[in-house]
Amino acid sequence: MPLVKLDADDLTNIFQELEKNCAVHQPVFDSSGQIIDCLLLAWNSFFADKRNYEVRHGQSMVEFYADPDEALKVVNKVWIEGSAQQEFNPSQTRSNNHYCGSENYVVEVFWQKIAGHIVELSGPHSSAHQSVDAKLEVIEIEHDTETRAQLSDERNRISRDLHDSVIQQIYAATIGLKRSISSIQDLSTKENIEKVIQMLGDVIVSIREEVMGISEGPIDDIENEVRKIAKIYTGNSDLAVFVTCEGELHIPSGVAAHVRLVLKEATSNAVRHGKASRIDVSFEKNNEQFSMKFTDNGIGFGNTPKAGNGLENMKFRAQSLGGSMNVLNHNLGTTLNWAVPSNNMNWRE
Amino acid sequence: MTTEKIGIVICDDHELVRESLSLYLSEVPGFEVLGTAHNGEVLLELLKSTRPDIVLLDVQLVDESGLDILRSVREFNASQAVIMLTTFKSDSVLVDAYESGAAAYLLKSAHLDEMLLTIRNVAKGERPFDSGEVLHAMKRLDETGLNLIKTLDETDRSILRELAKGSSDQHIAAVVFLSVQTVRNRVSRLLRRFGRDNRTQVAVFLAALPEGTL
Repeated sequence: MPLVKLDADDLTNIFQELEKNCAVHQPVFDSSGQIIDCLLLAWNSFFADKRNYEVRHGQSMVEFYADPDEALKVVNKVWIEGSAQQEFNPSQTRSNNHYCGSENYVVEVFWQKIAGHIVELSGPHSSAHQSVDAKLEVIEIEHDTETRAQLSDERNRISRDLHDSVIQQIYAATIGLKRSISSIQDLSTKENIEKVIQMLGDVIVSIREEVMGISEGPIDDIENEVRKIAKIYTGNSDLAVFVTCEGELHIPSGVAAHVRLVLKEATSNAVRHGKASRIDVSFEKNNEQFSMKFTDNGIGFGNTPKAGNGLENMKFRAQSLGGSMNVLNHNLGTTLNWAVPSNNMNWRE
Repeated sequence: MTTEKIGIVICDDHELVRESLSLYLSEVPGFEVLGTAHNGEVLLELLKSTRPDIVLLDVQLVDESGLDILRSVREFNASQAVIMLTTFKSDSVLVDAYESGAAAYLLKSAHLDEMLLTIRNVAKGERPFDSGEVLHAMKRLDETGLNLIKTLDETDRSILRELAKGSSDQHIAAVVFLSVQTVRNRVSRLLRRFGRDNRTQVAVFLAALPEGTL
């Protein structure tokens, strides 16, 4: 049974197209767990048309059904076993004026328990339950998928909310530190506090990354990936991002992890140290190699690239895959070429 | 050159953030914090008595959307400059903030200098939105919407057709033969799947679709 709270109206709506009687009931239990009545939750027009009385929400089965004892027996069976079939002749019940039409006919009723509801379907066709069976299966699968999607939505929302408040607190702490810095005379203390602010900033970025779901897996939409990463590092909206890629590009997860981290380092360098307002990233893959060219219009590193800006790290990542990296400072900014062989096993998965 | 200070009002439901921002900004030369608010109602009251150059407004307050507050502020004073502050960027919020007349959209980050710069620029009358980013966000939202429509059943399509016309939930319920509550559930499920926060955005998107798409 899928983990869903089915909406009775939804069910009726789905069954409407079956052109059969359909009703959804809410069971009423006694203290021993026995079903002693069922209340009508939803029904379709065929169900209402067949009846001589006015069908209303919450109507009791005991009060309105022609043979309530038999109906409750079936319902209890359905509750335990999941489904049941019943043959029913309206003309042989206590009050046949319950139903329209006076001819003597047998109705086949198919009962099913769906997510806490009792669903009743009936029609004069003997094959009714087969189509219904198939239909129910489809509904269960659909609702199951939907519920899973909803659960995951919900989980994401909660995670976002939780992280939101954590980020707010760190943000507030950062502001507090920033505020106190102006009154500090000692230069090394000042520097230390700046470092702490930077660290807290990195914590915020990491949490944001985590929540925004930049993580594992292969890359199929490289442009989207670059933009997602750029979004993390741009506090303000003024970084223009241009991505070019020759043909379809699928980067398997083994290489994708490195590509993401290199993109992050490069973007972070461009924005934080280079004060760039634009990045151009291009990708190319041929039989020999996969290459990534990252250009920004920032102020660059000057002639002596400082350690700790991640360049060594990016280089090491390329080398670990048998590739290489070079950095070029030019008057328009910085260009980084990162390339790895495309014929080794990292590209097969 | 005027020596007048840039007057700022802060609206954020997170007390720590509100207080530390207020203390920090009031110590920045050339800035003056005129007041703080923890919700939209207090903010609007504050705007009646003060005339700030800038309103710093959190996007997501408890039980209240900063975007709704933004719209009421702009309704109260169409020329009020508002800078939206957010912990997470999202396409729909970016587009909504832009269309609702925000002056800028800032991430809460440790780069406080950026915030100071943005405040100064907005006070000068600039609107530092990256039009490229807004366009991209719009494009992504539209793609999501078009892909989604392909997968919808007839009931959901009927609901969308009514949404595009601006129908009420009651009216939609009557058209698709479902209860109002079911319609509400379905509408919010659809909005979530469209990645949009409010039905007006979806209605505008749907109304712009070529005839026969739905």
